[in-house]
This record gives sequence, C-alpha cells and structure tokens, in this order.
Amino acid sequence: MKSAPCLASILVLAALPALADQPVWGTFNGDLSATKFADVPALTPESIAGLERAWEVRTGDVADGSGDLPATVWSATPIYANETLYLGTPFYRILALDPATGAQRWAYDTGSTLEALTQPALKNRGVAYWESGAEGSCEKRVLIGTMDAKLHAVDADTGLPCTEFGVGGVLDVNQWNETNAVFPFSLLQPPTVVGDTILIGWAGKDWAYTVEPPGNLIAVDARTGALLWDTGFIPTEMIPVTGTANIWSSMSADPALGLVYVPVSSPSPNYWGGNRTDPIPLATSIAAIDIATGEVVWHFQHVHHDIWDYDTPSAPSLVDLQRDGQMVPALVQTTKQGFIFVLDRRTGTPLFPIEERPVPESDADGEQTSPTQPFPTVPEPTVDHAEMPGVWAPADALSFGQCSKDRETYRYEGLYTPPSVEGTFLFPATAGGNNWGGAAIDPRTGILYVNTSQVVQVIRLIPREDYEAEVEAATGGGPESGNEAGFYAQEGSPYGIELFEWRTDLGLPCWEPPYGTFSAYDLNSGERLYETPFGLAQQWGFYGLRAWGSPTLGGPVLTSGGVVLIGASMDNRVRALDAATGQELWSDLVAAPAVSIPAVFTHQGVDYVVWAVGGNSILKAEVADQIVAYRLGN
Amino acid sequence: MFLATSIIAAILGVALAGRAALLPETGVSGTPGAYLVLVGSAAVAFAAGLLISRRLSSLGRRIILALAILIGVLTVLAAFFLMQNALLAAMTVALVALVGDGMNLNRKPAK
Repeated sequence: MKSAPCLASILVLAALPALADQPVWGTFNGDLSATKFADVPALTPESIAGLERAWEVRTGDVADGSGDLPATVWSATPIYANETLYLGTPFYRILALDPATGAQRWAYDTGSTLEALTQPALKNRGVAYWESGAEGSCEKRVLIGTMDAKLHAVDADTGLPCTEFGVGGVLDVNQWNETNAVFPFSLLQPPTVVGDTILIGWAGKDWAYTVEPPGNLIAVDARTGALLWDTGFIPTEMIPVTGTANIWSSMSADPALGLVYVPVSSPSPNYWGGNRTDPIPLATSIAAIDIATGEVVWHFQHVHHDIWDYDTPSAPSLVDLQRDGQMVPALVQTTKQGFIFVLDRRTGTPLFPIEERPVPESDADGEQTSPTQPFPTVPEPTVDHAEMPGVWAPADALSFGQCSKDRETYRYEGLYTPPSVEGTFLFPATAGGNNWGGAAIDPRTGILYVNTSQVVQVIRLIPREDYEAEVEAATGGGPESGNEAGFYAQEGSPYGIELFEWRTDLGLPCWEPPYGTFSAYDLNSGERLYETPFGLAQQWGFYGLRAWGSPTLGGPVLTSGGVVLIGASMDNRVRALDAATGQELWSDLVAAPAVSIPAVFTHQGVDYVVWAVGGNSILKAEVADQIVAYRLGN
Repeated sequence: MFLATSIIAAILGVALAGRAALLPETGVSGTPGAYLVLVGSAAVAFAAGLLISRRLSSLGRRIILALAILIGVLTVLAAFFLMQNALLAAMTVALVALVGDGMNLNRKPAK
C-alpha cells in the first residue's frame, strides 16, 4: 500500500542535491548537498542595494538568562517548503508562516522542558521537512527536536501531531541512550531527511565527564519513527573508558551514491585523552554511511587523538570538481582548525595532497599525543596558524604589559600544541576557525566562500586536587561553565580545565586583528582568490575598525547572481557581499547578531531572504526573537 | 550666539543619544557606550547652559568651558565609534560652538 508514495518520496527527495536550480530552501543548508547555493539570479551586486525589509515577526521565545529561564541561543535556518516558511524556536515551538507577509498559519508547542539539560543555553537550529509525494494528512511533515531529545512530527499543513510517528507523534530518542548515560541527549540540530529515512544525531556534554554516551547515528522510518539502524563511532572495547564522538551538527547526503556524510565530533573528555590512548578511527572524522544499512563505507579522520575539541563542525559540502579534465564528485569539509579538506566523496581519497606532520608532545599525566597530524598542503588554511597572531600593542599598553607577559607564560608551538597545566594558547579557538555555518560553494565554478574567526583562547589543565578550590575561588559558587568558555570538570580524568579568551582585564583582545575574515577559494586549483576582513567587532557598544573584522558564527549563502548573504558578525547587521571581491554591498541593522544561515528562495515569483535573528553569547551577550524577511524593492 | 548654538546642538545630541540607547535596532541599544554619550551630551548641554545663564568668574568660566570642551571631544569620539552619525554631527556642532566661544573669550580682556 505504501510503496507508491514511498517511491515518490525517494524520487522527490533524492533529487534535492541536484536541484540547485530550484529556488527552494528545504533543509538546514538549503539542500542535501549543503552547498548553500540559491539559484536566485535577480540578487546581483547591481540589484542588491534595493533589498528592502518585507516583514518581521517577533516570536516571543527569548530569554537573556536573567530570570528563571536559561538564556536562549537561536540559530535556526528557516525552511521554505510546501509554500510555507517553517521555523523552530529556542522554546522548541514550530512556527508556520506565510512567506510573503510573515502572518502565522499555525504554531505547535512541543511542551519541552525549558531547562538547560546538556547545554548552558536553550538552543535551537530549526526544523526538518519530509514529504511522501502523496496527498493527505501527514503526507507532509515538519520535524523538531527538543532539549530532552523528543522528536516531534506534525502535519505541515495544520500543525497537528502525526500520531503514527513514535507515540502520538513524538519519538523519544533518549530511549536509545542506554550506555554510559551520564547525561540525556539533546536534539538541537534538526535531523537530516533522505527519502523516507530520518537521520538523527544529538548533542551532549562532552566537557563534563570522561566516560560518556558513545556517539552514534540513528536512522528511523519517517512515517513511524521505527528504528532502522544505529551506527556507533566508538570502538566497542573503548566504550567502558570514553564516549561521545557524536554528531551535533548538520549532515549532507548523496542519494545517488546512497551515502550520508556525517561530521563526527571528538571523544570525551575534550581536553585530555589519557583514558583513550588506543585509536578511535571515527572520532573527529568525516564518515560516509550507507543510508540503507548504516554501514560505514569510508571515513577520514582529520585530527588524531583529539584533545582540542576540534569537532568536525559542519555538514561537508558536495560539489563536482575538475580533476585532470574529468569531473570528480567531491566532498569539501571546513574545520575548526581552519583547514579545507577536499576528498573524493565516493572513496574518501584526498583530492589534494595531505601531509602527516610532527606536532608538539604533551607533558600532562597519562597523555599520549599523536606524533603527527594531517595537514592539507592545498588549499591554504583559512587561519594562518603557522604563527599565532602577535600581541596587540594598544591592549598591551592599556594592560601595563599583561598581554606580553601572557605571551611568555602560555605555551604555543603551532597548531595542535597540547593543553597544559601552565596554560596553552588554543588557536584557532574551540569555536574555530570555521564552525557549524560551514561554507557556500558555487556548483557551476567550484568556488568556495567561507567566513572565519581568528580568536585566541587559553586552555589550562587544573589538577583534580586543585579543581574545586579554583572554581570556588573564581566563581564564588556560581556556574562553572558558560558557552564555549569557563571551567569544566572532565570528571574521571586527572584534570579539570579552564578555558578563556586571551583578553585584558578591560576586556580588550590581546591578539592583533583581524578577528574575522571572509575568503574565497577556487577548489579546482586550490588557490585562494581573496581574503578580506569581515564584519565589525563590538565592545560596550563601540565598534572596531573595518580592518579588524569580527569573530563570526553562522554561515553564508551564495546566489547565482553573485551575491553572498550573511549575518554571522558580532555587530547586529546582516550583510550582502560581492562574491567576486568579498566587499560589502548592503547591510541592515537587526535586533541582535544573526548567528544563523539565511534561507534564500522564490515564493510566488518574488525572491526572499529570511534570517532568524537570535544572538549567541559566544559572540556577545545579546539575544533576540526576530525573524526578518527581505525582498527587492520596486 | 556660540553658547546658544552649543546648547541647542547638545540638547539635540541628548535626544539622539537617548534614541540610540533606548530604542531597538540602533546597533548600540542598551550598551554602556550609548549611555556614556547620553551622559556626555547632557553634560555639554548643562555646561553650556551654565555658561550662558550664570555670572561666573573668569577662572570659573574658563574651567567649565575647558571641561565642556573635553567632554565634548570625548563624546564626539564615542559617537564616531558607536557609528551614530547624526549624534556625531550634532555634538561636533556643539563642540565647535564651545571652541568658538572659548576663542571669543580669549579675545576679550578679563574685567
């Protein structure tokens, strides 16, 4: 009975990666290829100055952390499908909006707990969409995950639960959290839908414990939520001593090859690995998984024995590239280290040479650092980590030489300098380099566009016997950890850690700008075409100079007209850049940093750009609940 | 005339700084920098008002004028780094008028 719609849905959704010419935005990254390419030719460098605000909506789902609720972090990509705009909120509600006016068609409240169970904030990155191709109730569905790992499926037309999915329309993903279950799962990133299969990763607390739930990819049936397969990333014999290597970010897929490409994170704990000195080949890797069976077809580990929290942060982008006169199906992965790995997506074979280079050794108790790490020789990294940025003279002067003293005190011997008791500079910082926003790629030319942060942190191992006293002295009993900074216990290991940005007491960065850049690379040759400061940094309201740029969080979208649309900056602006040069063409002030990927699509003949504007304390302590839509004026 | 111009410009500055600090989507809403220029603009307006409305000794007048110019310079600088162009323009006018008054003062022999 179900074979016809089933086949139809496979055909419809399997075609998504090839539908770069369709101005829809059906997934977190636009489509399953994760190129973030919108075939909207009218948005050009010449026309973009006419981009005007069409409408805005305030969801009401926001908290700054000062009241009973934890702060919100909202990085949803709006989904445009079924002639409707769908968004998830950090209170785990789904909103269905009219794309032309922003008028609400329906809303669905998951009733999720609003406790920060695994994260320091209430986070949401949006929803996923599935359709069978048949007509009828729940043949089109919107999916949202919650902080307590409930996956809700609702009818895309009405917002009513699809009761055949899970129990009454709710699938408890935490039912599969059976091993080392020291924390619950959280579903903050929308799942990936390929055909009639929903692929689910989860987020946890990989800085909190040594032995944690082992990371896995869970595949369920899109109609019923029934488990299809479950693939783990920690070797069985290692599960008693470690955990995570989970998938907290988005994925890409090539239905023609039958493969889903997953970004696997680091094992636990984040910053010490004496418990896991045996190889964990799938940790901090890109893994290609057979969608039908869950079998790992190939994997590429880009950090051996990760003790820097350099999780694979984003969905790899799938694009075909010229190689020796032939088109090769490629996979492009940007990383927190600032590397761009270009692989053959059929086999995982590198398309540019990658060298195993010696890296510094650790002096921490029990630690056994990998003697080498993989360095791609081409393309150049987005972050120049051959040398750390120098001491910034104004900050050094205003801190009476504190920055210079720090530079002498803390350890840095290049990328992969191990964490240490005396303190180690972490550059790029734990948020990257490049993070979950990933890159945009023009599938017609193979040119990649990416925003990059240049932030220096200090990571300090604190011997277990001193940890509690240090935390008490520093926080006065307050919360240990923040969003990518603070104290983390790493319970079960000989060390807790402290992680902080390298700043003066006045809050000025100690390192030389730029703090963020925007770059373009020709992936056929590996050549960097340009690198330019991007965005504006801000402190106490005061803006930095344009030449300094800004740390970034969020991703770019490229239009076929040659414009890059991007929020991501620390200042409250969304921007359009000339793809040919990276120069700013247009900007608009919004309510907070737009730490999200915009949706770019055509609805009833009109092109729209829509951002969720929510803020993220990694950039600055400002939150919002704004959805803002733009279209070209007359 | 210089001081009247300075007062009017600084009061306009207070309004613009208040708008920047209190209204949403100004890029600096609620930030310490925005409140700083609000206080700075108000201080310049108050000082200019004092200079125009009170009979002050020559020394007292010079001290208040010097302070007002210093606060004006800092407020103009802050407005520049807050990217509040209208405020920058208003406070530049207020500052120039204060400097003009100071130059006028220097040309008059002290009584």
